[in-house]
Amino acid sequence: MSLASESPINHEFLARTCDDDDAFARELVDAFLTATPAVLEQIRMGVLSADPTVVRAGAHTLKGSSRAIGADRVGEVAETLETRAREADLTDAAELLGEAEARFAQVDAYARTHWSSTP
Amino acid sequence: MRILIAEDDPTSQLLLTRTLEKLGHDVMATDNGRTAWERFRAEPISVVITDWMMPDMDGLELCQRIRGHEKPDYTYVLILTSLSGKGRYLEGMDAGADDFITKPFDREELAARLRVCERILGLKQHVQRLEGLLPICSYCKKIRDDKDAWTNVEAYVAKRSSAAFTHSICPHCYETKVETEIARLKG
Repeated sequence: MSLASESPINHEFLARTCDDDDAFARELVDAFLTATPAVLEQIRMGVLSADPTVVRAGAHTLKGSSRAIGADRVGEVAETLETRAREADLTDAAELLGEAEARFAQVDAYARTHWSSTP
Repeated sequence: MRILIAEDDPTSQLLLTRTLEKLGHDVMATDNGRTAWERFRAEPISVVITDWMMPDMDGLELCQRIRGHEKPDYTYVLILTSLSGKGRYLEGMDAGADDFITKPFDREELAARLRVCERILGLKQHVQRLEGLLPICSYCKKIRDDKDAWTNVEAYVAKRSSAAFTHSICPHCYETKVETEIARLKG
């Protein structure tokens, strides 16, 4: 399996979004990696306090930011979390948050490897 | 164009700012609706691109405030959000938005929509210029006001601005009117 097919980032989408400017793509992914831990923490606080409004706001932000860089798998789970929170259903919110964190960790690890090996 | 962004997510804000700058626009970025509203009131802005869900003041309220605020030039408002569906679209347009794009945006589509925006703003300015044309009598130079009444320039301007007049005589009128009258009086 090639590296591209294993990538948790949709490179084709990211390149198109950044107009084939790799330095900008790298900067954008860096911004995502820097901002996302606080967003995940916000969702965690919402889950712990059983507040669907807080969970929904955090999941909404995560959905938008992950899709902006082509981290589609993070975006998918964020969308599910947002939809459930909008319906005030937090039954499996903790599980979905765990899934979002795991998928984010994959993006983080991949990005560090990918861009450290890119000249 | 001078574009004001209201976007609370740093990743989306960076992407939008850089994309617009690459398209040649002058960009100001804010991270919530309230700050955007303050900047909008303080500076001339051609276009506002706003997210919908934001802390403090959301994009819908920002849009409504912009439409309720009088400015000499029209401001084009574009909602850029990951909220989608016909209901959201209609709600946004009813709040006064001119356009609605869902995230993640396609840069070529955004560029095309901004070209349309530029055309619309150009037409608006053209209409404003036409509306600003004053009918003036070719002979006596009186101006016809919006109630179809003819009035002299001095009264017309005084009624519509804070300008005050001081009276003097220009060299041409001094020569043709005053000196002629003095000569007539001297007999």
